[in-house]
Amino acid sequence: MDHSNGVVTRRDFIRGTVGATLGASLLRPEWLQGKERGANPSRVVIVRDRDAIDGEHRARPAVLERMLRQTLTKLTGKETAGDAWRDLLAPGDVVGLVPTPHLNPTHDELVAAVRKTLIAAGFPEERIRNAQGGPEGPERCTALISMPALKGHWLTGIGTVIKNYIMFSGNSRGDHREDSAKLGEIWKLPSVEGKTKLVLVDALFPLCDKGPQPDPRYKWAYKGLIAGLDPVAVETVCLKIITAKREALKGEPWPLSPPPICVEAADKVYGLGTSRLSGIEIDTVGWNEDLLV
Amino acid sequence: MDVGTPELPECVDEWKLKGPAQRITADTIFDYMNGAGELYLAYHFIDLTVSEYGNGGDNDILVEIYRLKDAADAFGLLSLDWGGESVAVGPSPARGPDRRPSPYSEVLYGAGLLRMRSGNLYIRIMAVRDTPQVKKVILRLAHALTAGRDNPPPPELVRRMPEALGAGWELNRETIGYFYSHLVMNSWYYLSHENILNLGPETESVVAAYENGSGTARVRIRVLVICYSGPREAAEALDRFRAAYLPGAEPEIVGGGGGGRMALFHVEDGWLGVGVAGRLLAAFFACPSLEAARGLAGRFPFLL
Repeated sequence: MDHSNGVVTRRDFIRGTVGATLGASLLRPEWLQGKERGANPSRVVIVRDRDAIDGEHRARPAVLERMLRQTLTKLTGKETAGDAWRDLLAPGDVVGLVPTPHLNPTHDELVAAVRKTLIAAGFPEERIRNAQGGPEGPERCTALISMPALKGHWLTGIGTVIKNYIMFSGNSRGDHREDSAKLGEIWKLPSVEGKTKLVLVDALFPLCDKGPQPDPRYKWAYKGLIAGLDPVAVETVCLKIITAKREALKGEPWPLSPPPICVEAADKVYGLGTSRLSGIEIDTVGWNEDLLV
Repeated sequence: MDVGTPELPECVDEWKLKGPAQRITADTIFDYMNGAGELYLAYHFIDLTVSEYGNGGDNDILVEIYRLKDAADAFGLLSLDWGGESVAVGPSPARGPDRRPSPYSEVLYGAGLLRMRSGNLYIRIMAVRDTPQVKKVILRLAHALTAGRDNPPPPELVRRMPEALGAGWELNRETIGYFYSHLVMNSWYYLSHENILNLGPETESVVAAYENGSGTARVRIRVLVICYSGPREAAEALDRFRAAYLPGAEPEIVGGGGGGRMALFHVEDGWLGVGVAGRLLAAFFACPSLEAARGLAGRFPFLL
């Protein structure tokens, strides 16, 4: 039976045919099957420290900076954070930091640590910008560091990596609604494609339910950073962590709804990386209690 | 009935209002909460009043009062999550036409967040950190906001959902959701990001889980009931649903009560039943066997 009527449904998600159905409905095939970065595209690093946040959930800047250095060196294999940044970025890059401002926002302390280590690595302060916001954000940058916080989302299932660029489209409302399966399309915009040099997820105090507004019952102190060069692989690991936490909270399977079809689509339709957990190498550093992967 | 936005007290214990309230409208809601605004617009949002209390430390309390078209909207927002501790702060619980108290919570508290409905208001009060002292303050604020007002009963479509559907299928109240928008439905039970059931601001809808068995042997189906503006609209919605969700599939037809008929389909997650009776569309999903599906279809259209 031909299932490809162009409408992605629950049945596609169960069958694993989101990519096929969505791909058949796209009008821009030239956007398909690209790659963000070639080297080690499916490696994800998780760094955790039990002292990353205090008992009142405030980030500890010194610990966070140490975790960031560990993340960068583990991911790149370089000796120092400075070497790692110089490996990831070109000397003349205008670097756009892309934190998440809403619903479990990225910790300011993490943004500050990234900025501080970039400057220490020799990247001029005036060429480090906040690129979050409208379409002009990525246009004025040559490199992007995506820095979402780990969270579910009521319209897209997971609202972490793939969704972090939603404001770049200039049509965030449409991308939240019917087009949320097509969030990967934003990564293929000329002003965005190829610019993401690092995905660095703030998993210090994640939100495992969908919102749409923060509910403290569903936040927990994971005290981690999750990073990689393959956005889909990082998102897939994030999804695994959130799913495991939800199951632990309820004591039974508690799948995200809507299902995060944007993740499978980012892989199979837009070629942004791998969404198969078995195809991802996960390296962990530090505290490993309740790792959830 | 619009009860208006109530006045907040200037202070509760050492927590004092930090400044004038901020008023958010449909034009500014996305600036305030980004994509979360879709949720409130889907429940006939009028406006939102945001106030903050501070105690001189760093444990501020945020008070959000959402004014909606009517009390059913406030019930729908609360139904998004029945979890948390059910607490009593108002003058009396809502009662149905039979004067029996509503079985549904009206005020829920958990980890420093209180959610409640009061008439056409949906209210969230949230502290930065949960402490026994801050919980008392939040409950007092909630009491002040609801003083002197009785809550109307849950929407009629919710009250009409059967407690049981025969053959051991029993309603799990903690799963009942009331909504108008397919985006909201997807947050309980995903069908499609597209609006394949023609839902809209006037289509009252309920989704609920019915369960059979217990422990690891428990089986759960979802039942969906939508009330359209007329029989033609319900029939059109059924046609669109079948075209999008069941393209080319041939059903087994089962007659139900009152002349209603339900079409049964075997899909990836079990048996699906769907039918129209007058202006109601009803469906069930993920039924484990044809025999059970036939039994459920025999109860169609559930609410008559």
